[in-house]
Amino acid sequence: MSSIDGILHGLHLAILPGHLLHTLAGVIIGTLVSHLPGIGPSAGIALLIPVTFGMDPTSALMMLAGIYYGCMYGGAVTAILLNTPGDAAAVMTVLDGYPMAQKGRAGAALAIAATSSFVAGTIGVTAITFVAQPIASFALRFGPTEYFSLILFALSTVSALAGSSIGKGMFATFLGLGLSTVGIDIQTGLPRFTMGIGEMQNGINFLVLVVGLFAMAEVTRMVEDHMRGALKIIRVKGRIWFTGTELRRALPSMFRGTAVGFTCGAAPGLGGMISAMLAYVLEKKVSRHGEEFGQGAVEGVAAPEAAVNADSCGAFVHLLALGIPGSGATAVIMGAFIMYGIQPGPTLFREQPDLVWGLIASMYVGNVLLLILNLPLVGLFARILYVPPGILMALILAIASAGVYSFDADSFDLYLALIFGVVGYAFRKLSIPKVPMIFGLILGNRLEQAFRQAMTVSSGDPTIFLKSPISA
Amino acid sequence: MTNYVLALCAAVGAVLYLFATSQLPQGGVGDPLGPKAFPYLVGVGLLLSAAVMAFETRKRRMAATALQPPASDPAEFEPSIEPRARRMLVAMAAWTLVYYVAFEPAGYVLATAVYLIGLLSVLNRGRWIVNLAVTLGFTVVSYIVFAKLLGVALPSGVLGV
Repeated sequence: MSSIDGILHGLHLAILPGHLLHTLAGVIIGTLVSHLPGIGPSAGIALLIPVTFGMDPTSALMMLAGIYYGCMYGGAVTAILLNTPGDAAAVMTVLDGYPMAQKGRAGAALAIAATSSFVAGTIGVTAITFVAQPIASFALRFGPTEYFSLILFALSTVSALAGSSIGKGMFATFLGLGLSTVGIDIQTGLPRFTMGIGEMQNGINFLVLVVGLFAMAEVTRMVEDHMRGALKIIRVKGRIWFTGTELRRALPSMFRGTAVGFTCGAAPGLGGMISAMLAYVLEKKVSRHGEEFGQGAVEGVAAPEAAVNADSCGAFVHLLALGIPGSGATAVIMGAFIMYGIQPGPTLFREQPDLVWGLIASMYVGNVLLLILNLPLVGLFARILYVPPGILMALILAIASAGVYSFDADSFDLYLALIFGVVGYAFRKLSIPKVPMIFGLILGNRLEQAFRQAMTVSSGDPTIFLKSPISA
Repeated sequence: MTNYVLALCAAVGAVLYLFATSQLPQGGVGDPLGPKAFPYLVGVGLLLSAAVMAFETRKRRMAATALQPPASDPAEFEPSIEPRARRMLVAMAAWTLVYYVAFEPAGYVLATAVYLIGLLSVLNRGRWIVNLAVTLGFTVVSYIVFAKLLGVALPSGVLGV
């Protein structure tokens, strides 16, 4: 199937009422999640995965993907109104978004952010449409040796770039890989590192790790912020729209931001935050209004917002074409694929054309839905920000607990999640990045399988990894 | 200092992990590597990361001493959190642990209601009516959504619901 045929077929699937409804649910949940300071896309998706058991995988993945890019859109709202990024990727939007709001241009900032997200999201999905399948066809030729090297490359980039220190990034990655070795060894059936605990035989559920490390540990940050004093919310006055001058200034920034974001997204593990930073720095360099940056420059909102959304599209290319996550949130979506018994990667386009094209097409639809949610309805969603933080924190913990229990109906997972919550707190205090640990756990088994298969092929000769041209 | 301790902990953890790996039984035929080879690599990697962390800290510290008096090291972790917040977090973690212990014996509905009202009476102090409404609302709605709509087997416990 060519990319054009594929996407037309996918669009036909995406507008079926059932699928449309799931996409809508996904983007609404994503928008809600983005407004909750404690829950980012990774934890939001992880918590919703149990809800999707029993759905058909196409609908489920449309919804989970919707949560991801919905969250990327909505992160700007808290950045602009609350001076706090709704998720890590919106950090740069704070710099100019909040000053704009202070000057009474909150409506314009929100509108520019939503428009930038829409432009970048649509260009990004178009890029996925035409880039993913050729990459997948190429990757079909990969054997275990090439896969081993590819995963190793992804893990190395995420170790090196996710935090401020390479050592800490490596530490988090190897910790994740170590966790992936817990449980029954697939090839020999022997239990490893279970410490005699029966529940450990099935290995460590990555959802438990994600919820503990992200949702629970984030509540600890909320508690600290809460005790330092309440955050001040700026109320939106007037129309959510921008002037012609503002649009003229923002438009080129949107396109530059999109280009930066998609490129960064295509590098595994870089994540939205780095895209946004690079886009912001680039804008500041090329802009004629450089002195306004940090004091409410429209470009400073448009470029990072575009970059963040384009980045999430780039991350999907990896996931769909290579089976390697491009960010923390796509790592969790990859976990969902595996739970549904679908192996993401090059064979996906051949074996599950309905699913993969439907999913890509649903992103076009989702972008339109999000534009509606974030322009006329933004005031409605922003009301969540007025909920007292104490209630939010308590509810996040309760939802996280019920969610973790529902993965496997096992209270052992609850204790594990609490331990990971404490680990997440310690990671934040010691500035150890969390995403590499998720990558390590989710890719560990495939890495080990690829490693052992390659070594079996070569009868135990490790130089095989250097002999293959792609691998080397 | 904290970063050195972290590196040391990572190294000790890595050695323990390597030791545990060496205790694993070797696999059967047809698998030349067996279940031990990959964990060995991971263990060595952990050890390496400890070394890199220690090296980075040393380098940063030397750069810092070259610039300013040795007392202040910007790379070190500062225990900036107020003791009040820390006490609160410890209490919350302990309360959550109590909730998890009670989760199966007491049942989802009862345990969750008590857990939430306890949390809210501290986090959202003084607003009893709102807190009660949130607790009841969340407990009932989440029970219906999880147990009835999604078919998750939540523990029924003493209430028998």
